[in-house]
Amino acid sequence: MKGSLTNRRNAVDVPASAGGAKLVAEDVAVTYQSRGRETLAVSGVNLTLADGEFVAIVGPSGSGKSTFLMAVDGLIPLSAGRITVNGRTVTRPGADQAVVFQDASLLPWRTVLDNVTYGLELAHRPKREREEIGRALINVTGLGGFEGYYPRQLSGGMQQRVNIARALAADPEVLLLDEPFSGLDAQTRETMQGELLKIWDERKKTAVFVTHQIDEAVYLADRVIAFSARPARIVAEWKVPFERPRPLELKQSPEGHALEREIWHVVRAEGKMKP
Amino acid sequence: MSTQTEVSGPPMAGRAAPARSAPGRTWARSRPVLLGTASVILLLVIWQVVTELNLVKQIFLPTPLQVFDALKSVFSGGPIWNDLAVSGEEFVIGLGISIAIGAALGILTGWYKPVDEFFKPIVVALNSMPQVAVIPVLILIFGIGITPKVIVVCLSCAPVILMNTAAGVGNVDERLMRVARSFGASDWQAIRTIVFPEVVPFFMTGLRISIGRAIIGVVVGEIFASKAGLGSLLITASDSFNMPVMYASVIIITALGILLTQVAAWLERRMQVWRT
Repeated sequence: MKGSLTNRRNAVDVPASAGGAKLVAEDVAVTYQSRGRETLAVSGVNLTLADGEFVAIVGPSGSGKSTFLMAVDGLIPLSAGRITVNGRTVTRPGADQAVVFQDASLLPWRTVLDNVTYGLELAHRPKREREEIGRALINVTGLGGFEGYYPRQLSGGMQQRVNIARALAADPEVLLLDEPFSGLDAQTRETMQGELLKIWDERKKTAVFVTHQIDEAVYLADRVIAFSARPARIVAEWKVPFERPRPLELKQSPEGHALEREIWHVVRAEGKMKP
Repeated sequence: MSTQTEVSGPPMAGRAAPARSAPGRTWARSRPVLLGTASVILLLVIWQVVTELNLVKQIFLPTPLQVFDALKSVFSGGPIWNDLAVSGEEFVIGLGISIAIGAALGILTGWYKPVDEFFKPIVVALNSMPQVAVIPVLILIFGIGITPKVIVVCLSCAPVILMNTAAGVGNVDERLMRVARSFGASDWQAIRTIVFPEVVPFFMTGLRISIGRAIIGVVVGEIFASKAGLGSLLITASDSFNMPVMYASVIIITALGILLTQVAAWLERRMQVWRT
């Protein structure tokens, strides 16, 4: 990685294929190199998200969910297929997509405000504008009053809030979340799920959320998609029938549990079919 | 949790319970200053006693008062300012070049493995050798002006700054680079926003260490051969058996060293506010 930072290929404008679709993945395959060996992580994934749709991806460990997400962001090149956002092909990371990684990865030498405005700074937005947007998001994510704090002074949950605020600050077309709450304790995790829905309800961003926790997927998403074991393809899809806004009690409801069980069985069966 | 048998030792004398009362807090804050001053005073007392009792001949070790008088006379005379200027010039130029070379090569060696492999033998050798040993040769080649001293300072300091800077580059968190890339940062933006801030604390450490080495390089160089400078002041006094002035010059050099190192240490701390 040292010495070369981005794949510099230009995005090419392509007319939108499916009307109204925000994110389209067509026959996507992703290969990655590891220890001199090539591994096919994702093979033949077809996925379409409508504007404002929240989709969760579940699947057995190591199935390529995160790899797929990174490919959607443009961090990893595709070995086949195409990904488009708003009809524009994604070839490298940019303003259209923003990722919330599992690790908050905040810049430790910057305050919360400067961390939130990082993406805006890279995009050369003027300072006044950056601060305005930054402060607004800090309030939305419940971080009001902590603008001047440094990451080391914040708890894990708060750092993830900054992470989310940072991703939203750039106002991306698609929000990508890679197990953002896996590093948190169970209580904080549940709180953050509720917080994310609150934030999301206001802005209705098209979102792809990768997780291991099926109850989390059902609670948050409009649709839950199950990946197979590696090389990943989509094996099943469920529409989550619950209305929004969703109270946390939903997680304890019989309907919620029934859906979770169904998904759990599929994922477990896939998990047994390790390559 | 099971209780573990601890090896019992002397009670932890330094660990006082946190002071709640105001007098307790003042004591805790002023204690380092008081204890530190006490040791210096004790040293001065021992010094005075040793010389008065002639345990060491006064030709070799003058009394503290004699040295203090010498300090006064040195600073009321003219030449000291020129000496300070000359030594200062050698120090600043030598350190300046060391910073330029050390930081630039440090980043390159930290970033590109082949560059690191290429420079490694030279850097390790320079760092391990007694750099002042080459002063006689340098003086033969370059004369007794400032050049040999500047070169010695570079030989002493550039490797240290290089190695510390390279360590900083190696310490750059991959995850932060990934964040920069995910926001579409260009190479230069990533270096500017992620690498530089990460490297600065390491560089500052290298700088702080280098200050002591630079002073040694300057002073020893001047002791060997020089027209002017603090080292020259020292050796001239020593040659003419003017012990009070010789010790006075040692004190001046030491005081400068302490001052500069403390400034560098303060800067270093300022740059690390965000670290745990």
